[in-house]
Amino acid sequence: MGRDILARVIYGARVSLTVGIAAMLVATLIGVVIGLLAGFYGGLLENGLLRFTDMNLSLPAILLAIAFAAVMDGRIIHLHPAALPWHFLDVRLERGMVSLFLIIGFVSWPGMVRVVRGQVLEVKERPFVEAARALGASNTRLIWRHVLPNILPTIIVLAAMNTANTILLEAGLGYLGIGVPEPAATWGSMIADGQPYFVTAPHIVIVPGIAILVTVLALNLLGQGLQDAMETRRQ
Amino acid sequence: MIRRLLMRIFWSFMTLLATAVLTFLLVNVVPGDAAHLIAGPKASPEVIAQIRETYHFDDPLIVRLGHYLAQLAHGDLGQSYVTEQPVTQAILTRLPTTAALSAIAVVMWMVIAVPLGVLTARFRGSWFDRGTLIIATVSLSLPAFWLARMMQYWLAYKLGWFPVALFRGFGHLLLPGMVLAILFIGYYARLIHTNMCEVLESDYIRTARAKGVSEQAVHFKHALRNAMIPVVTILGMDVAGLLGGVLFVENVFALPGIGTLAVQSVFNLDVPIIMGTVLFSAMLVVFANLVVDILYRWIDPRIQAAF
Amino acid sequence: MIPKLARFSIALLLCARIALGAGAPEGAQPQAPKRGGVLRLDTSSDIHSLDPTAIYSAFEGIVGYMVYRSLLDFDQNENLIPMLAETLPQISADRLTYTFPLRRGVRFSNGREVVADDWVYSIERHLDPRNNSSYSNYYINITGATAFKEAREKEQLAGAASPRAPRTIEPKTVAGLRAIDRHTLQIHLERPDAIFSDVLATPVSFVVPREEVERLGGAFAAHPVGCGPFVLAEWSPGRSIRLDRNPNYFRTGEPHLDHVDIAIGPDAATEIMMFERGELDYVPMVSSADYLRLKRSPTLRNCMYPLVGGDVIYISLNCELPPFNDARVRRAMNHAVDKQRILKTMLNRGSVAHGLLTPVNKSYNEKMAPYPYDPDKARELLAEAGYAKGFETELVVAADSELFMKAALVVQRDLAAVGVKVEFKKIQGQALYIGQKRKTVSMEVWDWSPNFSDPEDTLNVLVNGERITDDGCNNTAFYSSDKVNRLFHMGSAEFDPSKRLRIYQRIEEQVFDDAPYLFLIQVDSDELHQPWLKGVKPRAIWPSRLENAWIDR
Repeated sequence: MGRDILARVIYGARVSLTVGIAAMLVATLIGVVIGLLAGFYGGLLENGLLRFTDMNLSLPAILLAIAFAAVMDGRIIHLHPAALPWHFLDVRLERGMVSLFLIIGFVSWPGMVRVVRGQVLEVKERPFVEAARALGASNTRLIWRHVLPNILPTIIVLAAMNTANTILLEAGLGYLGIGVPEPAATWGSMIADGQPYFVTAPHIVIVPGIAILVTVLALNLLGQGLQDAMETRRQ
Repeated sequence: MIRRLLMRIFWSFMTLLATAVLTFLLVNVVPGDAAHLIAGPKASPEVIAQIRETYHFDDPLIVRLGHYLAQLAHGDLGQSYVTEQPVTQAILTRLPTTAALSAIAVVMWMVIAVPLGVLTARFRGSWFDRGTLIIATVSLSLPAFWLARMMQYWLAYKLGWFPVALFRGFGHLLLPGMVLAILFIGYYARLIHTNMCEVLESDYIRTARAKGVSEQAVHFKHALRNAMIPVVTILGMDVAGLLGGVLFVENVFALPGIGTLAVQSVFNLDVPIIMGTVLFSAMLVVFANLVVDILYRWIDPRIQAAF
Repeated sequence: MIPKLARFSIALLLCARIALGAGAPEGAQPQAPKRGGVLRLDTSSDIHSLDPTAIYSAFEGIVGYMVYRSLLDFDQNENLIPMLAETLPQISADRLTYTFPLRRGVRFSNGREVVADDWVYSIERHLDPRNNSSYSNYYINITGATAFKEAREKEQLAGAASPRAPRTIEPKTVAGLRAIDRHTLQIHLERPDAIFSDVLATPVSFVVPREEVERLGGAFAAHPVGCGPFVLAEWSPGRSIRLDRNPNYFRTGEPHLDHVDIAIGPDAATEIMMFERGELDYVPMVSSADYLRLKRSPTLRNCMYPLVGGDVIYISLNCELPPFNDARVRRAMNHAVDKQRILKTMLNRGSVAHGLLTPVNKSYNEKMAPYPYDPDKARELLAEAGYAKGFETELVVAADSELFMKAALVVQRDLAAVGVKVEFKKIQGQALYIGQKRKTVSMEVWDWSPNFSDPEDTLNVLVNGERITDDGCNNTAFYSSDKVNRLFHMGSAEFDPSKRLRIYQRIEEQVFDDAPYLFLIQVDSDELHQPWLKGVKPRAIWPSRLENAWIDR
């Protein structure tokens, strides 16, 4: 029984980590783009984007994820007008790994924006950026060649900590039963499935939980470590 | 000052409005099954047609959005599909439980996080500081539902120090409160630590030290007050995060709060309640932010808070 | 009315049950009930309605029995006894007329006395289509019932949507339902019906007061008024239910309990922890996961009371939709699954099912063997039917039932081995009961608890082709066989016990051949009572009756 659980936990790591990392990529992509645009262009765009971000921040991630997941009951959304039979524009909302990491990605990007924006603001003022601008570099070039590479360390730290978050979210959704469907095993759904046996065999719940804890802890420590390293390098 | 305040309130309102629209769109993209859900398993086609009319299911999306917002303006969040109870009532009857649980948790973690934050700033770099950092990181990495189950199992079931579940008195909120507190202690202890460290470097403190104020007073009277201000801000914004933890804790301990309502409504596909809880929590967060922002500026008018 | 053989075997079962529970301190010495105290129960999901036209789940039944009373009842040996009737009915020689003398002095909780007209009203409610009763079939055999139902349907189409609307179309009453005087009820049937009296001993015959139903309308489901030992004091949806003693209850001195507190929400793990810590008084079913641990505990083993399962777990195979419209495919399904393995996950407590009945049913034929586990034969049958490459299908399963999920997982694995790919559709809560299953659901895991031990109850619901409806149909296999339907006609009019048994056994044999369901297992389980909970009345069929319990501390 013991070896069985361990095997399942390792197998479950595959799904949990895949979803976690995929969600992080989605969140990072959105968060960085928005933070970048806000910080770089400033003015009305910045204002608008920041407000939009704040709006999203006020929605509790898990509740929003639950609401999304509730909608994923196999229905089909027709993105084309009824008259035109462009069925390739039909989206089927089903629970599965893809919809799950999209959902989690969509609810976790707001946390990144302010940090990215802050970094962009800082980098923007640096002398070499001013110099490049004076030499007539276009905005796009400035962003790609100068700003982005310099905020990369920050992004990596954020990514690490965001992954920690997405894994916790995925576990939570799996626990509630609205994560990846059977028979795929994720740590969250393993805990949920193990609950009826919990009192007699507590290790069924203890072990996957420790797996989650250890993974998330490792990611958080990694993020903190990287952050410290960056700060000492700056000094 | 007044103008800034009004602007702030205006933006809060816009945020709420946008949230309402977003939530509505999210959940109402295809209304097909809703009529069946409301009617129940044995309804005839006539009953279903009637329901479609009452709820305007066949109207275009814009019209339905309009109806929804109009209802919202009256404080009407609709009716549960399952029990026909008004959503507002369903949420308000459960609010006290969630509020009590949250309050107990906040008190518990502050009581521990504040001293921890101050002391680790005082003895910065020591083993105590590093040890607390590790423990704090562990606390942030704990899955809420797992921690709740573990503590329920060991402290309530095995040792019998607390009741296992249900809300039969305030004593029943102690263990759930502890679980929540443990989840957030790490974050707040470190936050206070970081702020304290920053403040301790500031001119204000240097002046105080130069004036001969005792170390004790420097830390507790002057630095702490300044360090706490951002903490209060974060606390306000963190209502969203808190609700996330509350959801799982209420679920495990079978407490009749908003969290359990949200979870039940997902299983029942009770769309008005799902929307209602999301909207309500958004409202709480926006309101909390607003209050905190106002307090913040009132406490420290020197600080020019960027909007 | 119950044949000697069946009575004997049921008595044996109950003796076994009492003997197995003999560790309990109750033993043979009945103690004097103590007045006062609170019974604490819990349920993982909320109940939907306490209107007798809609009571569906086992838990709704438990609460129903606290708030209402029926005309007749069953005693511990499954014999019919009078409840709100003074005596068992006088049945005419042609078996078509039932006369019930009613008990005097029975009052609804609003104070008014229960009279024969109340029964007429309560039964009419089931027949009026506007009340959406799940149980109209039980009364359709009353003379004039069909005409009454059709008249009300016409009124509904004409716009009178509420059952409270004045009746305009004839017949305005059911001809065969007569209140001869205040305390005599007479019912006349179209055809002889061997189980009609049994039906009147189930929640289908709960009596309700007209003035309260009309005053409350739809709200009656959440604010029921009956003449049972308790009154619904408070129902906080999704949170809790509280029942208070009914001061107007007709049996003086009863009920013993002051209140019943029901908590809504705890899941299985929380429930068992609460029970072991003394926070709950009764648990209706112990999960197999906890069984061994509880049995080994010197204190907890005395709390366990075994129950022989009255329900078979099955998977319905929609006979109207391909590929299950081919009997060979259905038989292949039955051969493909290793049902013994499912039983093993339940610690082998129970038996593999050969049909839809269990040992608590009177006509249970222990000589019938279940489909043998034979994956080769399954593949052969599938190839014969043209599915040599297998097929894909979707299985609907209730996510919060540990038992259903376990069974579903084994089925999924075994069917995959013969080329049938099964995908789960997990649903919970309200979503379980909605939807036009006829056109959309191919396979669903379900079970059916009989209301009484006569097999007609279970089989009528599950395999009677003439009872199929588009919505809310429990014959989720949508199975209809002319031969079986004819046998049903014969059976319902057959009063001779041994002939009845034979007819229903023949139905079972045909159903076995046609395999409209993937027959899985029947599970035995245990109830848990705290040592201080006394007076619980065990029953072989429904969950135990708790209304007359008392707390002794």
